[in-house]
Amino acid sequence: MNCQETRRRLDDYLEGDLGSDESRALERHTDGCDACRRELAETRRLLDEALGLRVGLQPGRELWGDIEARLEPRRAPLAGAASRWLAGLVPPGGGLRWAAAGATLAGILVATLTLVGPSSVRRSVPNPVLRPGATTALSVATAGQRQAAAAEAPIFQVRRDLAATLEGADATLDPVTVREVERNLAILDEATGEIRAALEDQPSSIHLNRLLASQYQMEAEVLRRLHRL
Amino acid sequence: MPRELQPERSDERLVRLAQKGDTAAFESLYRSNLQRIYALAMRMLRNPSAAEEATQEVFVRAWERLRSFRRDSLFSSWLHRMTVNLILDQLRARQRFDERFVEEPEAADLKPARQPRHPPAAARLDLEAAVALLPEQARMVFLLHDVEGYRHREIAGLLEIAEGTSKAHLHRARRQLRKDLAR
Repeated sequence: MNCQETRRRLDDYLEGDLGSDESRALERHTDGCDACRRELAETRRLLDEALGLRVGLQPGRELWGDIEARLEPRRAPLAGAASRWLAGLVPPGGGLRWAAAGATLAGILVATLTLVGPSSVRRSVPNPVLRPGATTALSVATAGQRQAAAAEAPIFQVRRDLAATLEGADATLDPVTVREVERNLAILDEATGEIRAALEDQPSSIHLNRLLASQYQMEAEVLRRLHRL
Repeated sequence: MPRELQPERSDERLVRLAQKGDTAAFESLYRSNLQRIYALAMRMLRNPSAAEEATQEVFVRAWERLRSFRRDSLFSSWLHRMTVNLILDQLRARQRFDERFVEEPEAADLKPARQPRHPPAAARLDLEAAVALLPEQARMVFLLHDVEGYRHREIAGLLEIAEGTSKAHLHRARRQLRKDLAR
């Protein structure tokens, strides 16, 4: 192996990608060649120093406040919210009204999740590619995003209404029902979360945006029914 | 401020709590991963403001996607990967924007602050500064391969280049760094 060949294969050697014969040939060459031996040593030193760059850096300002401010409105966890709404309202013995509400909600959720469950979400991902210049697809997708955003707004309103009702109600809540409601809300929220996660990868997907809008509408309907009960 | 956490409250437990909507748990995850994520963003973007914005975006995105995190990998690795993807997406979007709409002088303004290509001969550069001077693709490949430990195949996928191109960028980066550090 000559100098040119050695330098060309040096990275592969350090990567461990050379076969044993080639490795031995390279080592024989570097043993007898000062310039190539120096290059190998300098590269090894560089790699050692590069690992030192893994250390962290501290930003110049505190970032958490801005991050935290963006967490709740964008993805309020329904299960946690339900816990907060329902906490403290559960008397011993439970109550018929909330048992009925739970049963109704569970029925609605079965239908809802049959239509919009994680598996159907996966099947619905069409794997589109947004190419530069694909303005038509982009403009339609933007309309889809607006549709999803418009459908999202009522969810927060219904949640607020439900929370206000629960806080003011002299309700009697069966703990079993509470858990069931909370579990179902978490399932529903997870389905929404999966669609939103898929949208992070494909924000301009028309199908995903429509699916999300549809999911929001169903979620709003479930919450409205729960609210009415 | 985060509430006091027990030492045994591991990342896995914090992730589980954060997945249920516990923002205090998520803040703890943020604090334990912040410096690595910010450092990665800073080295990729070379601009403190852009790195801070990217870091914020990563954690907001992580919160939104947390329910899809299956806990079969480390949270830090998941977050790390998300950071690389987000920043590369941003860079690609900016490149497309520059190509379409921006005249050359303004395009230069939108890019991260660049330092002079040739460092002062008198001063021996440390590696951090030398890496910042590398051409963009070579810098990305060096950071991802030699600093962060990605394989060429992964880098090729992330950067949308051929595996051989990734190797060529790494070779060029190492050669340039050796040269700059020997000054």
